[in-house]
Amino acid sequence: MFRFLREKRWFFVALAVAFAMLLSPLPAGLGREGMIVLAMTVASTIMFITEPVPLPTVALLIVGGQILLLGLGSSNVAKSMMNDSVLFIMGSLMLAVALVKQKLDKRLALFIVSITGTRTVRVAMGISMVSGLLASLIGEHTVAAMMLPVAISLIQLSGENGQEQRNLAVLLLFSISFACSLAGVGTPSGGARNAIMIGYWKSFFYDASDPETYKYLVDYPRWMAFAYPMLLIQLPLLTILLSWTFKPEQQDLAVAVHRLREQVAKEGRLQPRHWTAIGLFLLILVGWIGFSDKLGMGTIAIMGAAAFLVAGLVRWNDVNSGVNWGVVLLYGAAISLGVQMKETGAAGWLAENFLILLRPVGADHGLGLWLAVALLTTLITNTMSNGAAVAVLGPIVLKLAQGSGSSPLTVGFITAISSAFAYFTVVGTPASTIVHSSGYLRSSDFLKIGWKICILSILSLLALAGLYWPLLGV
Amino acid sequence: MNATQVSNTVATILVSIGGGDDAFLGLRYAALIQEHGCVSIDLLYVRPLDQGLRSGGLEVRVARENVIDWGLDLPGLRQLKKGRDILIELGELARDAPVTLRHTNTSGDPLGDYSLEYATECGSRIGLYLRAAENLIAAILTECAHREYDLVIVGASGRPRGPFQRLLEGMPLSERIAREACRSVLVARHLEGGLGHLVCTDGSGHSLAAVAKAARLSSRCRCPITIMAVASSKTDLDRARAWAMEAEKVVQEQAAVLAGSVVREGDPVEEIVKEGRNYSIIILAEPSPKGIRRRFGSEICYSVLRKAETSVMIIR
Repeated sequence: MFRFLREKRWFFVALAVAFAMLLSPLPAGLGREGMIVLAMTVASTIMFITEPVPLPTVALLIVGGQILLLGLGSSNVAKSMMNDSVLFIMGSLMLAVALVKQKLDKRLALFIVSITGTRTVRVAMGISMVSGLLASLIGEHTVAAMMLPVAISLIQLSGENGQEQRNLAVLLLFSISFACSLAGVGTPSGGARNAIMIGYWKSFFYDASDPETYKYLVDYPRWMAFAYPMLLIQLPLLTILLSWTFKPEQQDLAVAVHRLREQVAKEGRLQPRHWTAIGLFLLILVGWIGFSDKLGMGTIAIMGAAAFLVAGLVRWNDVNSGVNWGVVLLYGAAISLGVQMKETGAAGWLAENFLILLRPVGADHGLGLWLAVALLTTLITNTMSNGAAVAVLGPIVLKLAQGSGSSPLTVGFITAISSAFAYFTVVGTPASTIVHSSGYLRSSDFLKIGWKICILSILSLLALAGLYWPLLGV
Repeated sequence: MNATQVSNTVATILVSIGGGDDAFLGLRYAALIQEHGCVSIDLLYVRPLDQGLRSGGLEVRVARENVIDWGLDLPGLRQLKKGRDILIELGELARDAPVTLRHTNTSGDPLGDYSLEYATECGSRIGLYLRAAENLIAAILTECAHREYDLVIVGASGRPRGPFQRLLEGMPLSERIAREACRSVLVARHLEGGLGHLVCTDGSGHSLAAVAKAARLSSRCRCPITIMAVASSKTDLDRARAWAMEAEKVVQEQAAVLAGSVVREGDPVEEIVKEGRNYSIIILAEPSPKGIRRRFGSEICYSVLRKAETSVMIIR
């Protein structure tokens, strides 16, 4: 019993905090329902961070809380959990499994080394550029899973000296994970958080009868125009930072590259199924770019996954076992809670009070506000998944933008992009978790480089927001 | 029991690999014990069960399957093979020793659980065990309770953590294992052989029993023992000297090599940590009282474990 209580202590702490909030007098400007949602949000955030119970349990509790505490109908709550963003999350995860199963990574490896040559830093740059470009389109977890064996192969083929392998290992593995994390913001399909923010803009601000609000319908090309420069600026600098921090002891990987070429050569030519997979992928991309505003990104992702299954390129068993469906439940519940934050006024109340805190330091508008939002999001995203961070913070920061007279588009982009800045911990981003599973990295490695990339990212973001985005009409 | 009788008794040691390079130094110490006796050494690597929630919904097993498809070594197997190669290099295992391989699926995980068991010439075992578990500590503790090991060796989790770091990151894994294991535990930290063992006593019967056990273990590796007793004040110095003399007798009875004794006055933890820098391992008894009394009572051994810059063994 004692052990149970000790293991679940944060669950009870979260409940106690929620109950204390519910029993306390209502602050000015916040209604009863707003307080309930706020209490649920605080309790959920504590549980997201500390994980005293399996995370999908938090999703179930959010659902139950909305029905029992807010008095919402169960069908309405269920409806709020499934929208295009959630369809996109499901579809992109199924596509991730399908793409990894196509075994195109060996050819990617060959392509990289044929361009970069054998110098270690150039190979690292090649890996990061390819990882980044792909991750901007199909999500960081997919690319990290594809590129992981490329890096491990180079590490293990480079020699038997443990120390040399370690320095090289950190450089190559981080070239994958940080490139994937940086680039996941480049397009809407790069990450679920992007789809979530797009969904918030639409549901919070778009009014079909008011042409002034059409700008809140952010389609694929428009998102790219805003966000893609982030990775174009950062990717080249990433390798410089990494190789400066983790100086590789081997300056040349000629032996490893030669062995890798021998291995990959055995694969032979691309087979018809490979061409089919590439063709389907390009079709999905065209669909996202050209038709997502009409059909929704989620619809295209789902249809793409269906196409891979129909074509026999992936089995349902592989998809089913490769996707953690609890994530879908989690994101659905977090989005549902985010909507309630707006509906009940909790988001507006929080935003107002946050502005009051920022006013004395001049951070209630302009650059100061952007920096505050970026830092807040960075802090939150380092403790929980980036999608959940945007789902929870999105309504608050969008209200913050309205209250301060800033553009919700600017602040929304800052939030979505900053949610990728989870560089400090192993579990900060999916790509970090996947490369860490290789066993070559330590937690301290993330800290060592993470703060440098974080500074680079925040400065790049603020520069874009101040100098470039105004040219796009915000 | 004389040295030959001690050496001829098969002992079993569990070395938990995965805590960094210190664990492999601990393995070399285990091999040193094996060199002078017939000891079974089991290497254990426990990896966490993958959680797709942390990798954005894509199960890490998809990435692992991809790595396996490339024919690459996964972590765990790589670490265990490194440990095996160290034992071969030290001559404790023949390269062509007969081996038994077992594999079991774990929740459909492509890697699953592996065990490779090699037979040695003296009849002992070198085992390599790869396990997947949700709770690393529970898995290690279950393993060490399962086979009744004489000693569990774990690598220290980096440098000693200060109070702020402990608040942020919690208790290191090695310390948790040291506290909760039901066997004697050696937390290896920059473990260098050849500097001898510093065995601490407070004169209690429990402590002297631990000295006897430490002496038996030290005699296996021919490691000289220095006894240390600390008086809390000048008036207790004579008592501390008496404790030291009593412990020296116990060591001699076990036919271990006695290098001498050290008696200090001051804070026991600070004095032991300071003196311990000159030795390969500091050895202490686990606190005697159990349960709540132990939690609120003296925990000198765990304070030494937290602060020491050298390896610490807690005898049970």
